[in-house]
Amino acid sequence: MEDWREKCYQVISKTIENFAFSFTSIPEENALLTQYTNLPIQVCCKYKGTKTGTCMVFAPTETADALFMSLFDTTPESEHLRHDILCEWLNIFTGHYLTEFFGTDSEFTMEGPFKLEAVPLISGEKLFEIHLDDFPMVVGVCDD
Amino acid sequence: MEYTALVIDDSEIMRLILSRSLKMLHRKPARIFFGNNGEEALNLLKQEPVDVIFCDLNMPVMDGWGFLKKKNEHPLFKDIPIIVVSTEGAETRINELFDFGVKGFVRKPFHPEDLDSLLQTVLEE
Repeated sequence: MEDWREKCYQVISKTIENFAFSFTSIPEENALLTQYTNLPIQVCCKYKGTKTGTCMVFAPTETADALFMSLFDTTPESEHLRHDILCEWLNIFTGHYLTEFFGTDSEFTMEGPFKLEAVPLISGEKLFEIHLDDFPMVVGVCDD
Repeated sequence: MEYTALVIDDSEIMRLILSRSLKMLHRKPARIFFGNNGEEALNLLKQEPVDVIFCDLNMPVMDGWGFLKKKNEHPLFKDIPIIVVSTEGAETRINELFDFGVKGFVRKPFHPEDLDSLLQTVLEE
């Protein structure tokens, strides 16, 4: 599982860096992992193919604002844009996660990312708390 | 020489990113039109001629594959060059795009310079 986490973190880190020119780190304390279901931004991206599952992001609004600021040098004008920026990154992350773990010869169909209505329970081994510059967010991967 | 572009993506963020990226390249667009999905894009093409299309694959209503098929069947649109900008990573699907006549494929996330030479080539063809 440690190899899996390391590889997954590499995908998170690479996609955020290339998407928003931001850097990620793993915090020493995982303060958000026990309360991720309470975070205001919760989006998911479902995939079907060799495997079926869902990738998810949970974040405070400040993290979405920081990501938006990295890309556009301004803060988002609407709640919709806060969700949209994390949806877009999640879409990118999911595509690269699937290629990294299942190879370029596996075909998947991804649903467009959307706001979660009910948060599933995710195994702690597949939940990551990461910091985007100084702003936290939680990434989860859930196989069906 | 300036050109007109059509960007098709259901994500407002990605439309903003693509629009900003195109404005940073050597060849600046005179105008950029936007569509949320393939159906909107087809309606827009009936009113506005464009020189190049940037299209996502995964979209609601009419996805990129549906749009490619309809565009290729249309006598006025079939020759407009198209560059697909997507998270798709499966080799067979990417090869299939070129079989559909796509001129270029850029995987998200991209840097503006990733579009530069591709756009030059497409516009000069």
